[in-house]
Amino acid sequence: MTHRARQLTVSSLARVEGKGALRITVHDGQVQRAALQIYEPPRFFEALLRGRQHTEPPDITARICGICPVAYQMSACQAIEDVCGVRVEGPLADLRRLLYCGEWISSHALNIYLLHAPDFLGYSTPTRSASTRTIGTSWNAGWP
Amino acid sequence: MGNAARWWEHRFGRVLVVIGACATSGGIQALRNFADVTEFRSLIYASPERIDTLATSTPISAHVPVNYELRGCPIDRRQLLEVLSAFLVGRKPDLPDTSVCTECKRRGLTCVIVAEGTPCLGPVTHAGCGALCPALPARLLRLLRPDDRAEYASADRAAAGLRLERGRDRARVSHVQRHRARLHRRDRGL
Repeated sequence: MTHRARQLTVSSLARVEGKGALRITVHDGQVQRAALQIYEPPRFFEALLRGRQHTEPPDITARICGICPVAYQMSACQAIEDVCGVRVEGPLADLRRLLYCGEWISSHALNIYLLHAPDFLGYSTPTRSASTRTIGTSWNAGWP
Repeated sequence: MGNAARWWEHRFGRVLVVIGACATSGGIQALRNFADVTEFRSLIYASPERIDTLATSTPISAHVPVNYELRGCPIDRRQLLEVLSAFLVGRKPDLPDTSVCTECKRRGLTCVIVAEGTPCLGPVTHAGCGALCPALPARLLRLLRPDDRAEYASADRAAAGLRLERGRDRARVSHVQRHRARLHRRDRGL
């Protein structure tokens, strides 16, 4: 095998909404160096939460992500409940579970139809894939 | 027009619509504008020297000319549909330019400032959400950006007339007052 070095660069990772870059140096088929660069700037939520009332964090942390706000909202609720020694059970716990499941469905659907599928199926934009029926038939063709 | 604005127009054309609280106001992380980012960095990260970030979070309109702003987190989907359908038929989008109080009134809700003496930042909150929070037994989340400076005076008066007992409410009002002072300084070229 020849002495060969290759540099693989993904300047914008589409799977994470382009919020990072990946650089891999391959030498003789061996990875020499792998560098992940997160260029989305820090938002300092941990610092912004200091000194606030215990009722505020769920509304604030929900703004961490527009695709999965419930995950952060729920985490904030559970953290505060932990501190206060509160245990949520019964219908309220069921309702939370339902809310979480709703987000999973919405988030996965968004991920599939807007972020991943258009890319896998060769569409330039999600709106273009939405305007054709091909996306539905492609999925159905692969599945029983 | 600055370099950024020229580049933008060349690259993307003439109409720029910005969407969401982060793009229209700097977002919730703009709270750093009133704090020490260096302290934030060392507070959160084990190796703060590896974290590169700006000292302030600012709206896109602070850097390039913006035609339309859809405020809020999340935005109101009726506003987005209004902008898209207006562009499709070639007319100007009809977006509200008043405070959320007007929507609150139209919903027939009782003003919590006047009736209950409850602090509300409605007078300094942009309309567009359909007065969501006052209709619910919840505090006003102020998801839209305070904008019209004429309204600041009324918010100040409202705040002064209320007994603000909790620190949080006082902090919110002083945030508005600081913002107003900044607008004044900017207008006077200071």
